[in-house]
Amino acid sequence: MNLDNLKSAWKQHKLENSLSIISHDEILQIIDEPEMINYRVRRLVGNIAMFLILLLGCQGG
Amino acid sequence: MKFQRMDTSKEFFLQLIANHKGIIKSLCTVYYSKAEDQQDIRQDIILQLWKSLPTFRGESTTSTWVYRVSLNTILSKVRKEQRQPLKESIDSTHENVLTTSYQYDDDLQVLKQLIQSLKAIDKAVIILYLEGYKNKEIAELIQLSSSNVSTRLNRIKTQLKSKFKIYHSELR
Repeated sequence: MNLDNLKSAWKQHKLENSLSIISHDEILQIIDEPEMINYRVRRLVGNIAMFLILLLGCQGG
Repeated sequence: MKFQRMDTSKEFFLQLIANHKGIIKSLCTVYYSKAEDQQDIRQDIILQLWKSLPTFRGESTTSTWVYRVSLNTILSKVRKEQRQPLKESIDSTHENVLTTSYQYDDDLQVLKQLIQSLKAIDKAVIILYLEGYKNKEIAELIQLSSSNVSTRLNRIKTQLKSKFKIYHSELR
């Protein structure tokens, strides 16, 4: 058995797998998710900071 | 296909994934047997491809770039996880190969059986070899030395031959 004989089998394997469906929405969700998480974390940190400033401000008054 | 100026837009990326989904899915199925694991690694690959896209200068074909990023993402994950199926050696899967020898009905089954019996890096080597890359190119793609790739290929060829001897002796 020669390894080169399996080259066509690999092509066949790829061809079979190229028939699988991966939607654009799925891809966009994958690449957008980390950005969305970063955005939410930044927003949460910002809100906490604002809350602390207001809390300290109110106590000082 | 080669691109002189890389478009990093999402539309371009969607098209790129569509063009190469066969490669991505094939690699996922080669390294992971469970559907949920395949889906996880596919997500990792797509995300890594997206992150790497701005640095792709078009010096290689997009398929080579997809192979490079995908395989390095997988190998990195495998190193971290060290999952059980990937630890299997030729010896430990030998029994499985024999018990499923009736499946050797075509080259595709042979290929699947062979690949499943290999270690993670050897899988990458054989896939790139079957894809038509030269030893030097394989070495560059998965960050090995050329001599290491040659040694691994020779070992895989020997393993393939021994598997077939066993298989044919079982048939007789």
